[in-house]
Amino acid sequence: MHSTEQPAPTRRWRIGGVVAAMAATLTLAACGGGSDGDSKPSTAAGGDGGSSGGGSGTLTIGVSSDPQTLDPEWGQAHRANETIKNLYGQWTRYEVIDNGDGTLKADLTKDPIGEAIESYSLSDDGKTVTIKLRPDAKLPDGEPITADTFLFKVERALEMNAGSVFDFNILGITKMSQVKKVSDSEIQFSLPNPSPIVGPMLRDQDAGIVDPKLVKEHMTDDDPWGTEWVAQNGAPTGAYVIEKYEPGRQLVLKANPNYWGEKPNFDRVVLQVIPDEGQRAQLLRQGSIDIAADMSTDAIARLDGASGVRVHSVEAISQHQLGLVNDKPPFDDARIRQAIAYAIPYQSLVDNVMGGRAATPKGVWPQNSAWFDESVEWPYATDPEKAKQLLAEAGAENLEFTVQISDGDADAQALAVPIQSALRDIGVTMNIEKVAAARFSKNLTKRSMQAWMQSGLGAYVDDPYYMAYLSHASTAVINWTNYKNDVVDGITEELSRTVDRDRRQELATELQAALNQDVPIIPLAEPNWMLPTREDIEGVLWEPDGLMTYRLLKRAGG
Amino acid sequence: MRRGFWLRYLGRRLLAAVLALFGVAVIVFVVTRLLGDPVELILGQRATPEQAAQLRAKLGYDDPLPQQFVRYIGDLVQGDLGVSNYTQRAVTDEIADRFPATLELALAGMFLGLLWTIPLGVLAAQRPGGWVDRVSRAIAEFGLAIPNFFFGLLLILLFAYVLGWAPAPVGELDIGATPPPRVTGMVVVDALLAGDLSTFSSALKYLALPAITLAVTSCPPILALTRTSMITALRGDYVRSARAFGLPQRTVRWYALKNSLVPVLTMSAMTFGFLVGNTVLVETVFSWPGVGLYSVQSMQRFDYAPVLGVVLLGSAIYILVYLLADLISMAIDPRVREGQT
Repeated sequence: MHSTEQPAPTRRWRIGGVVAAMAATLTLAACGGGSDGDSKPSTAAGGDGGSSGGGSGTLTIGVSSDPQTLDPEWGQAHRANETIKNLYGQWTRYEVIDNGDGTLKADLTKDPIGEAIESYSLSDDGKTVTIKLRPDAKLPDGEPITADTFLFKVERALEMNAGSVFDFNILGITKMSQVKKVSDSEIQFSLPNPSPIVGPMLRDQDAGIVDPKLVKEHMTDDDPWGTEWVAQNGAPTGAYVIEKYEPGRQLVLKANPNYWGEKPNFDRVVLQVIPDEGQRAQLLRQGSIDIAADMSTDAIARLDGASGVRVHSVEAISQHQLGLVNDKPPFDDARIRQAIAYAIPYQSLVDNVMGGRAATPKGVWPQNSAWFDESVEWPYATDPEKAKQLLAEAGAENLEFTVQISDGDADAQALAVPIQSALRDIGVTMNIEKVAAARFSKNLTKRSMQAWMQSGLGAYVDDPYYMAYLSHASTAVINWTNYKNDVVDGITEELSRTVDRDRRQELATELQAALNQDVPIIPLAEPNWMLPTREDIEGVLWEPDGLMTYRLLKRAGG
Repeated sequence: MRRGFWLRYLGRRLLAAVLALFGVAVIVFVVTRLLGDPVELILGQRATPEQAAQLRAKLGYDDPLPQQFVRYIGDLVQGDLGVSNYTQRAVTDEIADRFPATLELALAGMFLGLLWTIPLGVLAAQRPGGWVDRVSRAIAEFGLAIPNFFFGLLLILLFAYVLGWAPAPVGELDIGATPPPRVTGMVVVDALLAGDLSTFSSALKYLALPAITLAVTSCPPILALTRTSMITALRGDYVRSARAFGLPQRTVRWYALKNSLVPVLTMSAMTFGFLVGNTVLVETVFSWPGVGLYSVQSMQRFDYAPVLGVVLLGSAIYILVYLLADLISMAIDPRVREGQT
């Protein structure tokens, strides 16, 4: 359950909770949890120095590890992504809804608005994107942010061809000739097809702009984009810049004095590496840190109700999923997939495994998505008789299969056990195989398993095309179940070139109906996004990426 | 002793050391490659197969394994441990950054370990089966039986959270504190060198619990051996003679101690080797920014180069310490030397 870092690839699809790794740390954690007893505020030695988030201007976050890299082009893992999100200026951002309880959430019903840019607009044919820049935006050293700053970013992403290139490729931007500098304050993209997701893609943390001057100073013949230097030092442009970085110990951020937007509430953010989850929890109880990041559901549940601690909880669009690989037996028969879907004890998973901080699914499509259509039938309430009947129809006797789970995915492991016993009740044997995170990732890519289970999968962009393109179409990169349905492929194709919102909703509804019928993936539960903090921390923003926004965090009354 | 003997002996041992390190390199190389490569982790899940293939080629992971191995050994011989796939830093630099923290912890643990085990072992040997012997054996068995990280957690719970005598386990210094100017990389030593007494005392407080954890859980074998060899020594003819001549008890004990030190020294060296290995979990519990924690993180990321680097470093330390202990015992005990010729 606990542990040190999130090894799983967590890009578009964030593997929630955190993640563990080594058996040893697991045991540790269990034990850290056992130490639930009284924790007194440390007046002891540890308390004396600059500890505790006490300093009015300093926010202290306990994190599981260093960021894997500080180069946005390479940002893939959770810890790196969150750091990158707070260091690099994004082109756009979601508008924010105040939930009124100290939490905020991204308004997914609207297109993102300008952040580092002033605004963007699409031409009538949807193929030209005009981007107006802010006249007042500055880099941390006070130099103006101009069209060249943005062009440099796009070129760096395209040339490096690392993770961030996806943000542009999915829009159809593959070469610099499609990116035109109209003037110092205006840029144009020429897209091959109209794209409905320009705003959301430019919001991505790894699309954030880098400081061209800093990067250029460190470009060499061997390293034409200066990635070696940027990975270690960063070239920030966002709300925070780096004050000091001591790998393995701490990363200290300070507010960017020349940030164009609203000033961050905290002048400094200290990301202190506390690899053991149990210790992060204990330090939070005791008030040495303001926020415990990278926590598993289990650990968060144990923090619930602790004095001085508050668990922020916001409805999100991620799911815990059981994927059934569709193109090989036994799951090439839809009836068998449906039978499994009828056998899952949904309510019990939410109550007993998720501590009530989750919703039972209402479809393969997440119910908090702006595109979710409640009228689409989701028949799979827990019904073992129906399940047995479907198995009998399919002629499946003594069905046995193996589900793989990443050893870093504590939540999936916790979910697997009650599911295993529910399946036993309908005569199905589910073997659980834990595999190393990197191996799990490889097996997903190769579609080499029969079934997999993962926690906290959620799209970074709440859009039917994005979701279909990435996971449901037969050619989708993360269609880990090898699901193939011509109707779905047709819908995906039409979505790729349709910008009319009403038509898109119709297509999204058809897509949901097809998915609910086929259940290539069984949604197990839809967890809330949760963040344990000291009780005086407010301004906790949930966005679909599940990454904290430090800029908006504040201390109540502070 | 003749110089030729020493040179031949050293040469033989060093050759054996190199062979042992080579063996370790082979094993670690094979094991890490069996696990799979980190390309998918680095690129993330939405990467296309073409991108993965491109990166795999760039990192050389698509070459045949023997070729990768030859390249790796070739670099190794030149002192190049490779580059981390994530941080893009040279592994030698990353280890150099973190090893002092591990060394500081291991030395402190060893120091405390010798401090409690040798005196107790000597005392216990005075009256085998007496209460000192029984109590010390109970402590030693406890230390051996309890997993080190678990003992660390107990100490944290009791001394940091319940009693508040020790700082919470956030590493070597307070959260956000600025470390003293780096000279040795060992915070306690650097604080002293900088004349910064408040940082020095703060650093000592942070060092205390993890060092005690290592001292209690890693050093019991030294106690057991001190006791046994002291008992043997006290039964020796020369002790009986010394007693017969009416030498004072203290002098007699000193004779016996000197004679029983040789195996204790070897055992201490071995223990130190183990202790460096044991820091891995202890560092995790105490957020100690040493190489142990670094290797755990690197393993989770399938970052080969750091893993190989740390394992080789650990093996080299072990071999080196062992060699040193042998050399010292040969220097002080002619019988050991004779066995070698």
